[in-house]
Amino acid sequence: MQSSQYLNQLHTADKLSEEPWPEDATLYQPFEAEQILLPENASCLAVKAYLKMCNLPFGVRSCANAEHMSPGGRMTKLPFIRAGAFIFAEFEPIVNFVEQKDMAIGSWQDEDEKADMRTYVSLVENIFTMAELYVSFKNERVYKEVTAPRNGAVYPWPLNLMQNYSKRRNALRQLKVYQWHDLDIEHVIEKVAKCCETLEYKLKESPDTPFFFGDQPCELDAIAFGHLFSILTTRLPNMALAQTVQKFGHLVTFCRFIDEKYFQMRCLQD
Amino acid sequence: MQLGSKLLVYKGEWGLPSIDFECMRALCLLRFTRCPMDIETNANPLRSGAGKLPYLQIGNDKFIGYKEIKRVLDLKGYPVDAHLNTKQKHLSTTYSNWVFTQLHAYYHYFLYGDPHNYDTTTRGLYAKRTPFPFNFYYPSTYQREACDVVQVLGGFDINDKLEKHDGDYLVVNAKKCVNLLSRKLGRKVWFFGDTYSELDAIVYSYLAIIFKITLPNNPLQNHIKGCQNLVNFINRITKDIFRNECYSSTKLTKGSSYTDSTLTPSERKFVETELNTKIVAGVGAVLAMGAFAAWRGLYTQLTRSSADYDGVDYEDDELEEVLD
Repeated sequence: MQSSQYLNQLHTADKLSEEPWPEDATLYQPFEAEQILLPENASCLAVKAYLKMCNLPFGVRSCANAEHMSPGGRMTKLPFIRAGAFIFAEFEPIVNFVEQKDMAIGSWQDEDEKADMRTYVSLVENIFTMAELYVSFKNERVYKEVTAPRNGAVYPWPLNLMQNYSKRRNALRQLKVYQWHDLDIEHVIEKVAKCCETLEYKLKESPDTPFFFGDQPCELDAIAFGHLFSILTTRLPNMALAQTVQKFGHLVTFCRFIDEKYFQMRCLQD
Repeated sequence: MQLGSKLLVYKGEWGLPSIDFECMRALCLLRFTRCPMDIETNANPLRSGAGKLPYLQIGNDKFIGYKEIKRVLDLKGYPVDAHLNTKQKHLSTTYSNWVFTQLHAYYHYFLYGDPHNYDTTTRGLYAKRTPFPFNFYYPSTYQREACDVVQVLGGFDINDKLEKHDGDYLVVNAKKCVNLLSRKLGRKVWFFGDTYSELDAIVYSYLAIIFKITLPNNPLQNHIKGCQNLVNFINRITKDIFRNECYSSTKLTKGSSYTDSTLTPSERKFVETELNTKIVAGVGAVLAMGAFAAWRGLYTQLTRSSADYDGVDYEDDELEEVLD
């Protein structure tokens, strides 16, 4: 699983930088309309935003069993990308892969800035993914009305119950490892609000530019956009997360700007 | 802070104030902020209510776990990040979170997950700090927790065969993390210059344990040794801040250990044990010898001989009486 990912990265680092970006690079994800869940949607959007920022061409393929095809990962295991002979899952390995090809954005940053940026990325990924998992699987109403029917949508009757059961068990275990399992929804909101505060503070540090670090996009822009945009635009029976993010005007403006520049989905209301 | 409130943690080892990451974190919060509270290092983990240390006892209320303790300290006016400016506060949060993702899996895998390490060292450490019948069962709860941590953060199952354990991935991540921390610390006293932060507490807790623990397989230990500023950081905090809590089971007999090179290993082990154990062993030895003597019939011989003697004496008396 991850050893193969890591060894792939290590042994082919030299070869990779010479080879061009493959034309047929494909991003695999679950069906967007019927199946995908909030945390997965966020991570897929983050990767797409990153690849678009790097100006790399890629195709998107929706498969019902994308999660089970993925080589593994720490959070949602999705999306994964197939580029030539290589398969990488989740945001960070994909970013590392692109960086080895010298096509990455953010090569203008010095090392200290890069370290800071990496920590921001990890904060955003952890806090938002955990909050999204919490809302999707711990909130009874959201789980019954949205998560369970959507996750089971692609499977026939007895199998969907089993899939839901194992998915929920995994999600709860993840929450436990990150020490989120015994939190109330208020504490979750508090954590998300704190994370948003950190992001907004970072955004305000360079008020003249729309991006987090300087006047060019970087990984943090991609991942923050992926999560914030998904939270803001996904309709759930419990909109506590979206309401929390909405309180941070600068972040909403930031999402609208990135959407306008790279996606033109325009589903974010004013 | 209310009088009589105290923090209960595991006793330390190798000169550290505690053997457990969560306990170390809580201790750091308390000592960094100079919160006037007692520390009880000889705690019973089964009294906490959750079966785990650390916990904070204020009156009859118990606050279990690092998160709760931090919340209580924040409310009572001892927030750990109070002296940082806004930017540093945010950076402290992001770096703490990042260190967690890089080192948490390493810590859990090499302390509880690696079977050899666990059997030779970690199980004993926790078992010694738990009262008698529970010490057989209690350390394995930590191992079960580590199983989840490694599965989620490391991507493999520690109950699998040893060849399938993907420790390399964890080690590489941890080494990268240590390199970056070493560079960020530079020649500063704390990570953010002159004031402590939550980041210092977390880095110290992880690295001090990984650095000082005596595990058969611990690849990060040598790596930390190579980063002199981190070693100084660990030693300075241990010496300056935890002067009273530090504990090492071998320190007491350091003076005598020079002279006893002639002793056999088992004798040397006995010399290093505590006084209580020695007394118990002594009493046990006397009882065993006594039992052996009884079995060989020594007492019956003794009593018989004295009875004979008494008898003779008695007869003598009787004779004398008769003579009288």
